[in-house]
Amino acid sequence: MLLEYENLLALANRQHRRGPMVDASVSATAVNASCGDECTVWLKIVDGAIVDVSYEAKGCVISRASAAAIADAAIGPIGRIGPMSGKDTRVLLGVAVSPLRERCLTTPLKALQDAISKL
Amino acid sequence: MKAFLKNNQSKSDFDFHTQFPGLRRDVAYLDNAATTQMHQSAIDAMHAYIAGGRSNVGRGLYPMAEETMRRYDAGRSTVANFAGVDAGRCIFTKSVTEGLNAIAFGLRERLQPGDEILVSAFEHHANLLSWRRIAKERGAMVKTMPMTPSFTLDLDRAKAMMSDRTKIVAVTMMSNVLGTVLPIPDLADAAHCVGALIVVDAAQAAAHLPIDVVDLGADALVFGSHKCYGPAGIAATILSLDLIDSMEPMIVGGGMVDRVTADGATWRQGIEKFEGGSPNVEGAIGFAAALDSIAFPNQGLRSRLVTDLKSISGVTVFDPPGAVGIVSFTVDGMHPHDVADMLGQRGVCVRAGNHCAAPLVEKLSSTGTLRASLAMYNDERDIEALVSNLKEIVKKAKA
Ligand SMILES: Cc1ncc(COP(=O)(O)O)c(C=O)c1O
Repeated sequence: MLLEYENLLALANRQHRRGPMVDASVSATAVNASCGDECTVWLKIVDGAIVDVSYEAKGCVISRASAAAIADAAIGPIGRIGPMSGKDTRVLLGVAVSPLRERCLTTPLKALQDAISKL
Repeated sequence: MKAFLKNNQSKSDFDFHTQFPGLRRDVAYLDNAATTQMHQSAIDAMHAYIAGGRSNVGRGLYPMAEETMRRYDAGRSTVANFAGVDAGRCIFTKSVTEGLNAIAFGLRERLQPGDEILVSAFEHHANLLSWRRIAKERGAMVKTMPMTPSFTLDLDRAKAMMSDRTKIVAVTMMSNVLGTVLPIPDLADAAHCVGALIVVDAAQAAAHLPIDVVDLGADALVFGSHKCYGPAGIAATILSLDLIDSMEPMIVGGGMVDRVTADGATWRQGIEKFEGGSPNVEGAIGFAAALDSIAFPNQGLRSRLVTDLKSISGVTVFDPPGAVGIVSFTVDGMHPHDVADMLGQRGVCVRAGNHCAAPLVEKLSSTGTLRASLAMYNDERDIEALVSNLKEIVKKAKA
């Protein structure tokens, strides 16, 4: 657990896919008031599939690492996004978090799902 | 406190691990402002009562019920005496939060549109939301007595805010975030000068400072058991005799009524009016036993903690003059929840976030603070565990 947690730092600090996307099809922001986490995702959609993703995340390591992992995993048909749950996020990151921090993990997923629901 | 002085022993003579069986040797427990570990004497007292045969109080006429009544009353006396009053002024509630809500409810009819309730910048949500709600209901206003740049109460400005519109001053005695001690006697004098009542939240103070209600000048004061080495689920609300007579009870039902007719009811007199429902007898017994054994944490330990934390580069410590028992700090570039999580994995228990005092904590840091809080059983080893692990975490994060 200890090592896994500290490994998240690299993912949380990764620059890949960071920042607003000028030609995005849709974007959405989700917040987690308990940690002050905030995540915005931008998606480019072509023929029912997410072909590009970018994001901005601030807050704790878990939420920022989760944002990076979610951004990578989002590429593909949009139908996959709706059914995703906190469990998928845990699998993506390979960590178990305490129940109190579940919201940190799922805030980026919520931003992604909110963006899809705007389409 | 008495148990320690009676035996003429210094704190270091005790093995706190036998006094507090919940203390684990592999853990540095520094989240005492949330809840303390329970004192063995509280566990023993509750066990003796429960295992010896329990009953309800104020209802049965058989000897066992009389014995329960005697224990419950004795518990109330001990708790009341701890706050410098006699049992006739001490009401048991389930928590400090419930006690503060009961006081706000009981005082609401005294408020008229345009009246003011003053709270401080240091309030826990329990002593803020309860007042905001009745203010809204009555057309009154809640105003905040401000903090100085060194994180103490700005007493001059607080006094200047008091006027004949002020009806209630509701204030914490000790900040659960910063350890700041508020000048209750001065506030009480100022409140009484304008004809206002002063309600004191002593949830944190009770484990760190003497809380003599008469010396403090409080009209109402609330403190709980679980932050004072006793069981959860019980707290004491101390009221002036005038408030006991005049306040409406928040909870109605069995145990607090005098007469119930087909379409009405009258309340009992005195404190019984405020204790509707079957009371937490074992809680009262445990609470009293814990208070009989309480000692205040070593003040030198807080200074040591502050000095050691300040020595770590990238750590900001909030250290108000005169503060006791609690230290808030932040780590540059790191979210407090992450740091607390990593410390937890290393056996160091601290709290992170807004500590149920969001308006205050937002002034200190946008993401919350880390908080280490001391109890009578903490020693240098706990401080060392926190500081050495924090150093390591900060070093790794920078790498
Ligand atoms: C200053 C202060 N007031 C009130 C409370 C509420 O106490 P309880 O949760 O026991 O009702 C706390 C507990 O954290 C506190 O620190």
